[in-house]
Amino acid sequence: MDVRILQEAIHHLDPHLADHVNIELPLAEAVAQMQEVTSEHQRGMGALLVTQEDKLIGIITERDLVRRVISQKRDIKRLTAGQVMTAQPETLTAEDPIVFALNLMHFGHYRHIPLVDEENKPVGIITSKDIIKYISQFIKSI
Amino acid sequence: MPFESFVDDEISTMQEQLNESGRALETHEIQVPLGSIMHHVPSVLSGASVQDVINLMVSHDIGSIFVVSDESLKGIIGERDILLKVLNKLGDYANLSVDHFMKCDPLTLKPEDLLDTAIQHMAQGGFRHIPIVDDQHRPLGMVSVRHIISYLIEHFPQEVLTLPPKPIRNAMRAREGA
Repeated sequence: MDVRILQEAIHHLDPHLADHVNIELPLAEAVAQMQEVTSEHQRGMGALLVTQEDKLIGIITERDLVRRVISQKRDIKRLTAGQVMTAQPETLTAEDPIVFALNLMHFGHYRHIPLVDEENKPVGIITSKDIIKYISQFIKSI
Repeated sequence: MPFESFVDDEISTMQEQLNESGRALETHEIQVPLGSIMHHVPSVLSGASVQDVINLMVSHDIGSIFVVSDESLKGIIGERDILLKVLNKLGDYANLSVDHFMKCDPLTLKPEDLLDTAIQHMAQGGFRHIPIVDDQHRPLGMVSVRHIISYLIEHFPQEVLTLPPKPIRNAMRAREGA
């Protein structure tokens, strides 16, 4: 496997579309959206982006929900997306090299990296599984 | 001319560094046994409560837990299972048995199986975690996507660790008034 495959642009990973919700959305509705099974998300979504005036402002992950809501026995009916999200997440653009995503995932312990445009509007999201799927194309099949 | 010679030397050095950075991940580095890169994952007994699992996930900062019965792996339960099957769906879930929510009989590999095999299974199955078991199906550890990414970074330190904190954007934008 040649390291140069990691220097290709992130759009080679075929990023998912950026599902996003407003910061003031009730958390129960955000959770319902993450739980929805679709053709693209056959086991629901592990993360949902949060926006304010169409610009990325946060991310809610399944880990956030376990740690900040369930383990603390908080009532999701009394919370908003903004109260549970991780604010100002690390972002990349679709033109950045894949190796930057690896760098962030490793040092930040992130599984999801939002992709934004020059106006900080979300355009997609990549996951650690996308990286593995990409790499698998360059090693032998089982 | 000395200056031109200096520039030629610099270009030659940069070219050598560029070629060196195109190093391939050698076959032996991809065909590393999973036993050497797996990590420990805590277990709960079959019948344990969902609350026990959540407490372990938080205290160990981990996203997946083994469920065992008679020391044998029975299933795994992850954050996604909690999100999909518990949150917003059940009134009082804390005392419910984890067996209702776990993934039963997950795909497993052996410690002598190789990293490229794990990568292919993860890619094809959409898994983030693969339990590693012995011949008696007792869990020995877990291989996760996160740890595979970390392993790749360890083998490409020059390409990753020397990156700037953020991608350099518009670096060639012309200066005004210089």
